[in-house]
Amino acid sequence: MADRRLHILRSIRMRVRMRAMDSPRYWKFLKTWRRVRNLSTDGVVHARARSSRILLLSVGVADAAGRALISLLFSLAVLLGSQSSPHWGPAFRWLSGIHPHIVVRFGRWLGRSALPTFDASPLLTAALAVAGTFVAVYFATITFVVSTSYKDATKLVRDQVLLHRGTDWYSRFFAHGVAFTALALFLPVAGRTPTHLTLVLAGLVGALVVLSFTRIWATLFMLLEPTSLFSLIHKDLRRSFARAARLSRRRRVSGTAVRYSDQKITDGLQTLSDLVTLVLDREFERAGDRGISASFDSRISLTVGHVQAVWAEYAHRKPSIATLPGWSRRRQETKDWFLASDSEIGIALATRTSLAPQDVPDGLWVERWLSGLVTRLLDGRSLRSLDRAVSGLPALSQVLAGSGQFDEARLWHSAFTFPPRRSLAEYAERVGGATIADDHADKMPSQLRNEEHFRTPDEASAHNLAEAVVFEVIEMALGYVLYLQRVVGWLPTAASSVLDRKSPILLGTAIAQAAADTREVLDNEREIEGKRVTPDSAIVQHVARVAAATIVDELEEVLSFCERELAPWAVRVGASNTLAAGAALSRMLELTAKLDLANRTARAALAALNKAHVETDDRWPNTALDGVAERMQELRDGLELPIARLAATVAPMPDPEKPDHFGWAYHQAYDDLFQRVLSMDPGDPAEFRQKVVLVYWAGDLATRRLLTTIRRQGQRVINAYVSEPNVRFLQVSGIALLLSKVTGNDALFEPFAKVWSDRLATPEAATETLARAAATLVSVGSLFGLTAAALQRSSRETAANGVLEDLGVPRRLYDLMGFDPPGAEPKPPPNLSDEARELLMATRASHFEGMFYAKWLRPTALAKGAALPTALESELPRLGLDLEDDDDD
Amino acid sequence: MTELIPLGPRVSASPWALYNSESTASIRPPRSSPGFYQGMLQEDISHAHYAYEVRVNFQGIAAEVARDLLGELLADFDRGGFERDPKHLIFSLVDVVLEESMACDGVMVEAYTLSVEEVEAIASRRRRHRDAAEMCSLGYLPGWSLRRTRRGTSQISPTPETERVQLPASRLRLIAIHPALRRRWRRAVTDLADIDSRKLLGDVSSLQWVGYDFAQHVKAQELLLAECTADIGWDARGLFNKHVTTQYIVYRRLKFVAFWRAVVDDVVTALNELTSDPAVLGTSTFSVSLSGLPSVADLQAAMSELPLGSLPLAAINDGLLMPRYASRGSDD
Repeated sequence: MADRRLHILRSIRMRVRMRAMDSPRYWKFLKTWRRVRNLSTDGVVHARARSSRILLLSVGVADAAGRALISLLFSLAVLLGSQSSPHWGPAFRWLSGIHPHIVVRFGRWLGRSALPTFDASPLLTAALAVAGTFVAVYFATITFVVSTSYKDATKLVRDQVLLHRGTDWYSRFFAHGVAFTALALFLPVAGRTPTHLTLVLAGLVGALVVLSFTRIWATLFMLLEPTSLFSLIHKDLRRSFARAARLSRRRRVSGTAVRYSDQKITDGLQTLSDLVTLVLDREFERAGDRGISASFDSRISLTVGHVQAVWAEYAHRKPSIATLPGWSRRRQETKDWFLASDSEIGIALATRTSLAPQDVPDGLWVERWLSGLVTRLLDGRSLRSLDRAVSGLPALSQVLAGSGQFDEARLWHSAFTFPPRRSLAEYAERVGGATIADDHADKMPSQLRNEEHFRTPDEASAHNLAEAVVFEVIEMALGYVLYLQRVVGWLPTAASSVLDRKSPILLGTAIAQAAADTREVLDNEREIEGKRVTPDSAIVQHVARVAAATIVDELEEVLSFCERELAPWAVRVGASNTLAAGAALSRMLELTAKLDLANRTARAALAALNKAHVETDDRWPNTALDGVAERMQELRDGLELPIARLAATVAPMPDPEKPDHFGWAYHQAYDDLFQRVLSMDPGDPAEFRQKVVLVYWAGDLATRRLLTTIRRQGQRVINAYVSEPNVRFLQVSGIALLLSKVTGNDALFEPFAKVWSDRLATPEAATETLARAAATLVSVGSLFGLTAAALQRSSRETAANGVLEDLGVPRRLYDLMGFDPPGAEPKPPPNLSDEARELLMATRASHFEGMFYAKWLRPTALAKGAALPTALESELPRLGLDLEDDDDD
Repeated sequence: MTELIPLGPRVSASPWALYNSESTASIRPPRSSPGFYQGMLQEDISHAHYAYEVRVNFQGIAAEVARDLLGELLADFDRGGFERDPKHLIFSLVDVVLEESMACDGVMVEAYTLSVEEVEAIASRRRRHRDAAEMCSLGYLPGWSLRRTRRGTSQISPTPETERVQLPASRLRLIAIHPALRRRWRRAVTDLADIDSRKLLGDVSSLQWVGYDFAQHVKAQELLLAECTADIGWDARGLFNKHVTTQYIVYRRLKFVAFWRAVVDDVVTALNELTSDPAVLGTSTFSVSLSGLPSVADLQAAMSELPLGSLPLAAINDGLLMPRYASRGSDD
């Protein structure tokens, strides 16, 4: 019944409003009312801000007068109270259980008047002198601080010193102390003697004055360092954010309150900006530029950290604050010439002007301010200076992306990583890449030694920054995954969450806006129909649609950014002869794995969201994510050659002071090559050829490194370790040879043949290569399965066997221990040539590496005039190596 | 057994003569076209049956005979030249009933026997001779032309010299809808007329008003439009769609169809009282029923289920709101 009445009242209100709208007076009144309201809001906001400042301004004349009057009255009241009671025993009755006699005596003593001979004049003089000294020292300190550290600071920054909260407390105690003491000392003049209580109170107030003065004095001297103001500003802003967030929980929010909060936050941001300017100016005065001389100024790092902390604080409160009516500011947005209306374009062309910008709400105004500060702090710095400025900062991207603030995360990301990226790119260009000849199969690429790396200026900083840049994107990808999990977890409660106005939705602007829009149409529905008709499932579907579109869009955004900007940058840095190359490429590869995780999680999340698509006639975003996996694979494929190049050019020797980029690059490049061979997809032939050559040389480097790092072991163990890189390459060569013969795809083995042929160019080289191959086979054969590398080789052999099995090659042909499973439907075997069968049988006897030695390397080397390593080969049959009998030739 | 009262020739004036007469201009409602929204509503309610494959079924006598008899009975309500189509005649009667319900309780008709000339004209047209005694019709009496007094009901004459004609009470019949439906209809149409009177098409003078906000004005108007027609459920052809959810729009359509269906039921019931009355049709009485329309109970059940989310909108659309187009679509 009550609903019905409410409905009728709403209906009458709508009709009356509609009638009023037909009159020009209504609109005029509305405009005037808005104007008055805005003016009054401005006035109230201004007055509140001003009054707030006045209350805090302890040195203000009017404030001081008012405060003195209040202090006087308060002190007078306390004084009269202390003079009126002759006996204070009852006040201390709660202590009577301890020692009643002393308590009673103490109470009486307090109520008693001081001795008639008590002369207040020396005390008065002393009190006045102390008060005057305190005032003088206080103002002298403030003047000193302001005129030294803040002489060129803006008013907002200086106010932080002058309106320090400790100052306020000090002024209060001081005013009360002066007033009370003055009144107490005036009693003898008025013919009255002060009681002991009055004197005790005067003493206590005096002590508090001294204590508070000491504290404020120490604080003021700390404020000589401008960066100490950051914590105060941060605290103010945090308070302002919390106040704004509390406002959003109110049933009705007044425009004045919102404007006041807005004003407070703007003031805080402006103060922060002014202080940043001050810090930068000081740095400029001291260092003269942003070069290397300014690189050890810890103020910059501190400032960036505080700006980031303010941003994180705001991001935490933003879901609540953003719901405040009128919170978003307006900004001018330029129009798209290809999407603008014909009439607009026609006018612009006819008048030779541009399209008029449109006024749009700006929900990122706080972030724009903060990102501007970060850019000002970081832009134009040298690598070392940048490294110092950003090192140790927590990653903000995950926090922002995890709560659905993707636009904000992009703002932060561009402000935070663009200066390092630009500096690193310039640095990589300056240092240059490793010298690798186009046809470098016959010559090992040159590497810098660790000492040379460390001597290169900014090398360590470049390494750290390269990691930091890609790490920030990794964090964003992880934040995206976190966001997806939150969305899926939130979906079952989406309807109640949308209907509940009090609880903010912490899933980003798009979903929050969709929820607000849904609430609005449901309100309309209630007003029209008197009840809600739309079911919960429709509400869920509406927000799920927005969530699905956001998920797809954001994945596309991240992927496009990686493809267009980050990957080319990482490859450019990765091609340089620097330590940063390893950092950039390794982190980039990690990023591709995280993107893959994001892709898989997004698919699962979209599947969950698609279940909410009950009304299938309703429009729904395309959630197929077509081509995303392929694009990610391309991104990853694009890193293979740079990683292989890095493996062949980076300093191979380990150093505890730096990450082992060579080790990582070697293993990664070898694994990439192995996967290429197993998948029988060499990709671009020229690139594949390069990769094979580079992996060969990387293996050579690995062997040299192992020769110096494996010590104090048995000779056989040392031999096994040292031989492993060469045996690995023999193994992958053997697999490539066998697969190319089985499938008839010679392109797979051709690069390997080229590498080995180059090693067998002359009889001497062929003899050495053959002997080395035989020696390594003998070394690893005796310790098969003991080393970690050998175990990896074993697992790779299993994978290769699996590929052969998939091709339909009978297992008994190539696996000594293998047999075809009984009852299994055998695949049609490929047409195996005699050569392929022979290779398979050799593999069965002596694994891929042994087969390669016996069936390709040895005959080819002999053809080149190599001498056989007879002594070594005498040990090979123990492995079951089925050598040909051409050694008799 | 009902006593048969012999019907005579038509006493009342033809509605067309009344509408064309100069002398009735002062009392008949102006012939101006209805307002923007009002016109749309009337059109929508007239065309509501196009969404369904409606069939008229006759009981009591042969369908062919009943079809002819119904055509003659409702000849005055044949607005679109659908003389042979009983379906359109019935829906035309529904339109007239709703139109008359704005000012009266319903449509007053006079049962009368056709003259010999009329019977012959019909016979020549239909190539089938029927007994003249069976050829009856219902004369439409516009509400504004009638006056009820203690002496009975009289009608104004289309000729200025002639006095009012006293209509025999035994021949008069009322075709009306339920008062609750009538109230809802009247309220909606009156409110729409009010909005129409404020909607100034093509008038841009308001754009010059100080502080005028066109978008705000239009939104208020659209929400008021939705609110005014909430009782009958009209969706105003989607004019306020952007302010509500799709589910609510479907709910409104269900409500609108339920309203229209209830009106059609009432009119068919009233018509059946006439066609089954021996005093009107003698021994050729019959009854009419419509098939192919959703029942009010089905529509209300769907309206109850919709807020629970258990009924997909597509099922409502295809099964209850537009089954005709759904079946065509499935053929494609």
